[in-house]
Amino acid sequence: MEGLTPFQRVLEARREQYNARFRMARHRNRSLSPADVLAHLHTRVGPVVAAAGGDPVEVTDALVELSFAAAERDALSSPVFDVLPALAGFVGAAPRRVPAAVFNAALHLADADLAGWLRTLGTLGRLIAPSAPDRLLAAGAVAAWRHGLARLRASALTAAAGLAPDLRAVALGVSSPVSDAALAALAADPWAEPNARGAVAVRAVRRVGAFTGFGGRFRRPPVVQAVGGRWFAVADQTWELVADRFGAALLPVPGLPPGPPGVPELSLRPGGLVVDDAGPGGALALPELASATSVAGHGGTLAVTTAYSHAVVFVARTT
Amino acid sequence: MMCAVDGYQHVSRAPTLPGGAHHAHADEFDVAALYEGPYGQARTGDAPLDEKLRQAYFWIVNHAIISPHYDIEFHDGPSAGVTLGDSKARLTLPSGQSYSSFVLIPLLTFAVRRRCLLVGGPGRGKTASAVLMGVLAGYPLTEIRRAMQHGHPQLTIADLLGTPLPADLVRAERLSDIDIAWRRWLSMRVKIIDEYNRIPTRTQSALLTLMSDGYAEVFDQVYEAADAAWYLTANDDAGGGTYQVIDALKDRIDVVVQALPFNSRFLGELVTRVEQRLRPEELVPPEIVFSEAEHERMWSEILRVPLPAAVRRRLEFFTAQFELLEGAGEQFEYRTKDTARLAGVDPHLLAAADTGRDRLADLGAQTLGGVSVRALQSVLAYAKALAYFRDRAEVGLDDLRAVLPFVLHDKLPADDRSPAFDQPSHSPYRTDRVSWLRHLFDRACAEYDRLDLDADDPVAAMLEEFERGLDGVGEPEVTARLARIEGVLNEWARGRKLYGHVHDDALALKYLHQRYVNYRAWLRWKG
Repeated sequence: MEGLTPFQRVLEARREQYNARFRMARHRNRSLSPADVLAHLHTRVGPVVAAAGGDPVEVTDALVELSFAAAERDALSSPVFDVLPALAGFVGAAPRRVPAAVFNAALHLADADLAGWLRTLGTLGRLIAPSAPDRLLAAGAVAAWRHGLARLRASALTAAAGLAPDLRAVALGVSSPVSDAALAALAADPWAEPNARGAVAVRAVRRVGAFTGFGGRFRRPPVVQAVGGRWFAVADQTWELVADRFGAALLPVPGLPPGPPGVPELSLRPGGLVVDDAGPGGALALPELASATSVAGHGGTLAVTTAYSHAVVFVARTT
Repeated sequence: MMCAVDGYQHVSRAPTLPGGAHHAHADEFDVAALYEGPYGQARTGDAPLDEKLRQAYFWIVNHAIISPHYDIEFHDGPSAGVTLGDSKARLTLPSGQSYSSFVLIPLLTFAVRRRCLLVGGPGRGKTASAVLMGVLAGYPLTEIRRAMQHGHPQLTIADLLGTPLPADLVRAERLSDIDIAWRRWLSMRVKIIDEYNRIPTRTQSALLTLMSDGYAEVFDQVYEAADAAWYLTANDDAGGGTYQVIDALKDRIDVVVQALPFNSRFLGELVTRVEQRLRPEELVPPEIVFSEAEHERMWSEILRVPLPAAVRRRLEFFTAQFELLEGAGEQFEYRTKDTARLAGVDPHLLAAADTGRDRLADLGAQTLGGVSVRALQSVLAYAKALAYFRDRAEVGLDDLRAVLPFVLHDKLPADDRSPAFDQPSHSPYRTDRVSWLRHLFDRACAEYDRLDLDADDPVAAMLEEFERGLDGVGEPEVTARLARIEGVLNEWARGRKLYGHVHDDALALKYLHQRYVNYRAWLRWKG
């Protein structure tokens, strides 16, 4: 076996096991082509094993298994494989953990900015020592939040608190380090821009939801309610509405939970004028809200629905 | 059962047992949830080993061993059930998470590193099950196959344990000069002996030393073997092998489990395996493989699962039923089945002469022996392991009830000639030992409840009082305690039949009495 790379030697030694695994993958995905798998192993897995360091058997085992799992899901061409060379050191340090984690996260980001997240993860991989996969995954979670996973907000803020300011900056997509104070500002205001220095004003910050005919979730225009500091949209069924500066998600729930109604600091006036009752944000005229069918508010955020749209419009006092 | 297309690499997601003692509900989408999914679990730190053990169980039942039986039943509230056929066969639909003994018992054996005998007809998956346990321990398949010992009439001690190096044999002047090439399997954490009842008797003796004492001896050289989970297979454990298995070797086996027949409704799964040339043992996901350190840690964690006194008392009461044989001795202590057996007398013949007790009500009349200390140790280990597997904070009565029949299967010999087996509803117990043992335990528990021993147990109270120590206890108090002991015994003497548990309790009171007598003598000497 002279002249073979460590990767090729592992393939040779574990040929029987990998062949068995291939048969199983092919059983699940009849269109799986042996040539495609071989090409994938050669062009996308081999280089990662070569660059990863660590135990080539463990790394190869982990990446080959991941490849078969992806092949079964018709995901051999997943862009996640493209970021693995940039994370090779982490793959070598935690072969079972890091690649699987990135692939799993990619599934959650499928409806968000996956490409952007993978780019950011690659950048983070170059800044973090390969011996610290925990830090990479924590920073990756903050980046996942920034690239659209609003549901991660609370957990990502906790993860961000444990990162250095420069890593926070990369994860949050800003050019200057994010201080603890800036992080606290993000935690206090779901609509705030990281490191924002602009004046506070009432702004239309997000529209969430659409008609099912256009790929949305609502068959008829919803109404909105704020309960216990959370947002709910009620149409044919009830949805929890998770939204912040970075993204939004609609999660089906069995019904409205018990809890106190929201206490808004903004109000909707006739003609679609949104006014900051506390003062600093001023007012914003949004004529489309003139025919509101429901208004719910909590803190510096107001959510409004109208008879002419399937979207919930969020207006907030923010920077 | 999940079909092959659901993926052999799929491991059941945690928690596999919602509502367990050590797992909180976690619906929140957090960083951990972000990195979990079908491509594998990426949790930081070590996963709880009980969860990993359950994942291993579910992987095996879903993908490896086609055993769609749930004969170890647990109930979470009332369970539905139906009665089928002329024999009124009861089919229970358990309301709690229940398990297949053929998978669970070997897995618990793996966890506690004890000795499991798998019995059943050929082709039922006994060897495959044992091989899977080797894979769970992290050994490559080829190594497991190489290390597996196959019983056959020509198997020698050297084949089993190791051979002296030929060069040493020529040169050596003393036995200690001879180095032995020990067999690789001796150092493994999973040891498999296929068809152990085909091993010649002399070789069985060498195996006995290894199984019971953990060392092997060849040419005066001793090899200390690693702690291991043992799996022995036999097509027929009732003497149908080439050689009779020596009793001492049988006694070292902690647990016996039967491979249940193949359910024809699951032939489709077999077809898929044949067509796809799928061999589950080649496809065990790494997430359910236990490193040596994890194996060791799991055993330590199992040992820490507490056995509450209330559960322990039920086991004591059950155990006490079987050893008494009034006609076997004259002195109180020797009135046991063991005395009869050592004298070469069939305990059944002496038991038949007993006229004082109701032989149908007396559980002890159904056995030819009692429960040994070794068997009790096995019961405790497996009950703790099952409670651990079920994520319970302590061993429950249901855990004890579940494992007891498999541990006592070959250790509590039934007296098939006992009139108890002649009752129509009990005749199946002559062949179905698991149900018989479970029935015995249920009967013992019912009797324990009838006697209200949880609330009123004077012997337990006296033992507790003694356990608190004798510091500062004066002679008047000692005399009072002695009088109480004698009072209880005198009360029993007035008409109470001598059952096994009464025999044990009387001996316990004699023990207490003797301790107090000695202490009182010391007090008087001290002056």
